Amino acid sequence: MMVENEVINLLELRENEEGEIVFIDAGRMAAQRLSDMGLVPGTRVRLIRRGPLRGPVELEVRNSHLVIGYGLASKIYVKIA
Amino acid sequence: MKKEIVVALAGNANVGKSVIFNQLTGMTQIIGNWPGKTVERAEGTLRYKGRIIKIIDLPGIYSLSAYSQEEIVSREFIAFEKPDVVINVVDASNLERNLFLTLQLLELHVPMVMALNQIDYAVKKGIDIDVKKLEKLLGIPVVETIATKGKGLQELIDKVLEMVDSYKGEDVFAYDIESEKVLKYRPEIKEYVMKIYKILMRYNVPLVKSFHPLWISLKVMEEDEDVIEKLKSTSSGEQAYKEIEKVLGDLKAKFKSPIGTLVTADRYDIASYIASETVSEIHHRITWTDLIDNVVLHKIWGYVSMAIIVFLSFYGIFKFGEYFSGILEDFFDQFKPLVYNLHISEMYKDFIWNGLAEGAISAVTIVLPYIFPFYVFLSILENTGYLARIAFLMDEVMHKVGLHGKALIPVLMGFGCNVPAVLGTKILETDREIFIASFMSTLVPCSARIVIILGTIGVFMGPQYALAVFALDVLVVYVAAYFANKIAPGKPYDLIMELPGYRMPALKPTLKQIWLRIKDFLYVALPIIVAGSLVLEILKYSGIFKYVSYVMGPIVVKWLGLPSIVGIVLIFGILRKELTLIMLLTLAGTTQVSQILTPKQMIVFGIVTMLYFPCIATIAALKKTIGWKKTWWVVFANIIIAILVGGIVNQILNFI
Ligand SMILES: Nc1nc2c(ncn2[C@@H]2O[C@H](COP(=O)(O)OP(=O)(O)OP(=O)(O)O)[C@@H](O)[C@H]2O)c(=O)[nH]1
Ligand SMILES: [Mg+2]
Repeated sequence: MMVENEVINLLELRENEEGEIVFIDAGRMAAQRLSDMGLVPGTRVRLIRRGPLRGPVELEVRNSHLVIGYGLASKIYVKIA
Repeated sequence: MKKEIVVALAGNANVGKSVIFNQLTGMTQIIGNWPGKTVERAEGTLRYKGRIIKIIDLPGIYSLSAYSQEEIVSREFIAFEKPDVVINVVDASNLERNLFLTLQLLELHVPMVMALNQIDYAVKKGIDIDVKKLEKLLGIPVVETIATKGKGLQELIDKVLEMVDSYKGEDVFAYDIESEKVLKYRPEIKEYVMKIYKILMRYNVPLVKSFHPLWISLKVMEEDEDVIEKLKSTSSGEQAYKEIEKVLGDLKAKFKSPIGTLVTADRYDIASYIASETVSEIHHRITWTDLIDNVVLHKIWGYVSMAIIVFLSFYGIFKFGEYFSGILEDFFDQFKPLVYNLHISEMYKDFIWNGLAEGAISAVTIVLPYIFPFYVFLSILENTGYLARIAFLMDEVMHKVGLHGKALIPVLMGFGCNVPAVLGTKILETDREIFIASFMSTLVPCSARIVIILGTIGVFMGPQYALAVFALDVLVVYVAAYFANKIAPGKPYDLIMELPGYRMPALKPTLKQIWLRIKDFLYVALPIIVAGSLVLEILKYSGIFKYVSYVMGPIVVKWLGLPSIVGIVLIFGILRKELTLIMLLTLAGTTQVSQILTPKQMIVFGIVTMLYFPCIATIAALKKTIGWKKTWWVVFANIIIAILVGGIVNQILNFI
């Protein structure tokens, strides 16, 4: 069981679980790419599915669906909302 | 009244800009249901109410930061070419994300009208938008449109004209950020923006002539390297920047995170506020998209269903082609006696029948029946949204060759034609990714080469052999990409892509798209084929072939095990790939490949034609995309790969 408000990596979310972005641990470039797509601290995301092995994840963000590569996704930290 | 007007279409990817562009100008930009089709701006004209309206279709963007080529293209277009009005096309079913860009366009202070597009799709999703309120909150006209049906487009253009006629320009000296109705950033940002703004005006920096000073101030605050460089390129700008840096130092000390992040977060806050005020979701349905994706993106079933789709469409296209090809062939064969019963010399009979008629007939009987169902299938793939799913499924596989999943979309387009595939690789982020993906595209058999394989190997040996050749090609493409990645090493960017909902392909645009592709075959390929066949027939009588055969003999005959005339048709095939097969038939005076090639030779011929050389049009596209040097490298690599793979297969087939 996850403890309420504990900060975890986005990839640790279970499918269909929701979280709120706390911080993004990435360089300027990656952070900008993510934020341009609407992933900024405070944003609620839902993990819809992940690809096999180190495949990408599909997220629901701001009522639309985003696919994000494994490496980029691993830079996002969330707390369970 | 201004007679000539320039209007730019700007908006997120996949919102319908190109559909609107095509509707207004009658032109034929690529459309489809995945983000990133338009990679370069396109221009067209519309004559309306006595005005000449130049319309510019821009690539889709999510932001105006300088992190992708498309973003720079778009913002420089708006800044330097100063369109009279920007039409911001937005997807009504996804307002919040779209508004993020709208706000940035508002920062540029250009006259703007919003096209709230895909209203039909939003309604289907149970979304209702209060347009009057949206207009009020944004302070710009908003027109509801359904681009695919042409609805609302006239009103849109009327609003654009109204805007042009009433626009009076703006006094940048009297500007105050507090008067902004929409752009309500947090107080600290507003305060410092105005500080920077005043410095820019005080130094009278030239950049202010291109971009509104508000936008420059925000970009400098966001540490946008491109803008800072432009600013510093003049001496007054350089001085201004020194002063700005000092001011910004104070602001940076106040916050933990970079200022750019704060500005972005504020924009998103404003966007969510406007969306929450105007969008009401009447009912949240479980959509078809979710249900289908549960299967086609599943860890196991996703790959199973992908294989089934490929397999079924392959057999569907083949069976359709085989059936109609047979019918057409019987039909045209009746005419041969007519020519040969004429009272003219044998040589002229050959010119007429072999040279003029046979080429055209083979093209129509062999090529057309296969490309038609193939183009239908391709259109379905493009317009439903499945292509973007393939990008998801294959992301990891592509990482192994230094690309991400989205790179596969243009490469797959190569099955239709290599030219748009190569041009489409521009959606990728770096030169090395564009290089690898273009190289891959050239090895993907285009419709012409697919037809050659289906019409020879498929018809005379059985579809399973044709399928095996395609499977071999997949392997070749992957291994080639692997080596290209070794030559141009680097870590790929990670994938980040919006996953579009499934759409029912709109009938009219889809049919038009299929027709355009067939038209290209009829109007461009067919004349080349006829002319080529005639030239070939004349050359046959000139006796030049023995020299060509002599030179190419060792490779074509000895190593590849093919008849020596194949060497000649391969040269012609560089013009258009269809020519290889059709000329082979013309030279042999038959429509039955089995009379010229043994089954083993068919396989080697199919493989070699598939890989050996990009056609002229593809070479031109390569040159434009990766430059001459890399283009020649790709050509050279293709030749080597074809000789290598074709030869090895030949040796193996000899062995068994
Ligand atoms: N239902 C519906 N679909 C639409 C409408 N407008 C566009 N589409 C579909 O949306 C998809 C994207 O349209 P495009 O015109 O190619 O989009 P774009 O904005 O030019 O996209 P990029 O060039 O990739 O940036 C296509 O599948 C269109 O058929 C609309 O009003 N209603
Ligand atoms: Mg487009």
